[in-house]
Amino acid sequence: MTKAIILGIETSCDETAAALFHSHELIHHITATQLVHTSYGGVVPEYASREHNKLLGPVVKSVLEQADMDLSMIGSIAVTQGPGLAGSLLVGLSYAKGLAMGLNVPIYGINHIEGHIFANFIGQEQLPTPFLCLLVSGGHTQLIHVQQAQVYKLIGQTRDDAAGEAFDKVARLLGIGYPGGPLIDQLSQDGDPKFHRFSRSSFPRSYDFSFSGLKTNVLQYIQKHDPGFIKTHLADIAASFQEAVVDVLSNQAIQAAKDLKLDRIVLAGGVAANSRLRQRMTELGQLHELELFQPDLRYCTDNAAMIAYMGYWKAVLQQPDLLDIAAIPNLKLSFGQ
Amino acid sequence: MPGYHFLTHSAEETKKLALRVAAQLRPGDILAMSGDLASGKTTFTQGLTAYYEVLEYTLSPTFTYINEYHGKDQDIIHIDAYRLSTGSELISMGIWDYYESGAIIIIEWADIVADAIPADAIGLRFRHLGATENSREILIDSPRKLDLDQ
Repeated sequence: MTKAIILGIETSCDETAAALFHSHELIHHITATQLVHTSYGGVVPEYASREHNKLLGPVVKSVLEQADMDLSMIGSIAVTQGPGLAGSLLVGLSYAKGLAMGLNVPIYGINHIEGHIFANFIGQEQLPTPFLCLLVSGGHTQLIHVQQAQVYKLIGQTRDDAAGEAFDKVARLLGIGYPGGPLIDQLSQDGDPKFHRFSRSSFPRSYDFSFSGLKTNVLQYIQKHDPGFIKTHLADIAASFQEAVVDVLSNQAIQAAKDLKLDRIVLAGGVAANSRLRQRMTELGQLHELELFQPDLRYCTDNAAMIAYMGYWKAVLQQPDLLDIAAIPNLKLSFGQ
Repeated sequence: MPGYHFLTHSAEETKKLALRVAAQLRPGDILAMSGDLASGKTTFTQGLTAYYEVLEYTLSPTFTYINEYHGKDQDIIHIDAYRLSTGSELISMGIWDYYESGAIIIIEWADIVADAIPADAIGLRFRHLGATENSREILIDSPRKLDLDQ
């Protein structure tokens, strides 16, 4: 039994996280968030890797203690290989390799993006493939046709800014601070989404997105009105902006699923935590008779549970990686065809 | 230092200006861009990568910090300092290796990391004009003369 235990490690950005899985089932996971951000929510890369160095050992120790387990019970290690910050990835990878060598257990390098997609199915032994995935975060906005595990086709993507980035930048334009996504979501609860119609970009015969023009549109709107008016209607403007993003994301996703004759849609990434997007996708899913999967809120942000779960899948699908696997900061999903 | 002053009235015009600037660039050039949100920096970068026949989309590097593009006979490194606060952070990300790689380096929000940008960089300042028009003012300061008919 013990050899089925998977240790997952995630250090790609500013979360230091570890998880324990028994086969496909979560035993326990811990995420430590670093507090070394700049005023606009950036991660200071050098500090981030130093913090990972300091936190990773204790985080792994804690997850084992809280699960009443010890290192000798670990049967394999899954670790984020990319994408992410080079220095941060290296901390997790070096730790994982050292441990794998010491324990003489296999190691699996995990694509962080794939982890986010699979986070929807943690605990499950089967995947409901094929499905369409709407992957939305600060760095990504993509529609992916997931034919089966590790067989992907890119259907559409942003041509400029990611959806999560638009939330952060508009939050800054509105002067409401960081992190933009959760703050705009919260503020919008008291606002009228139909207060102003901001621009929606689309491209003919394409499932691509663009959010750069929307950002300019919000800026122009703010410049055109006096600060008192903006302040009074902050919630309305936030809600109207959010509505524009949700409209575009949900309409493109539904259209793509219908055109590809897929009856399942899966949300993934940090923006999948947005309450309006979840609500709209639920409504549209019912209307169009599509089965909708939304990740548990605790798995929308970076975590090691999704990495360990992905480790389970990699062990099912392929041979372990070698101990010389490298950090790949710009790792992409491998798209077939 | 030669200075150039332009006004553009659409994203297309900004991209066309970028094509003219790109034609004057040499391997290893550093473009230090400054200007507020939605002032045209990424649009200009899209024009530059189009000149070098980069086939992928030029995405905002705000969250990824550094994007690499491989154009026709020319690599392009697109950096965004929006989420950084000092030049030393850029240096810790290995910026000097990129400076010496022969790639053309584009740095958005360069004013935030000014202390990590060499003195011979080409400076570009972007400003969004007026609430109703889609006009941008673009000021270029180059240590060497650029052939940009005005």
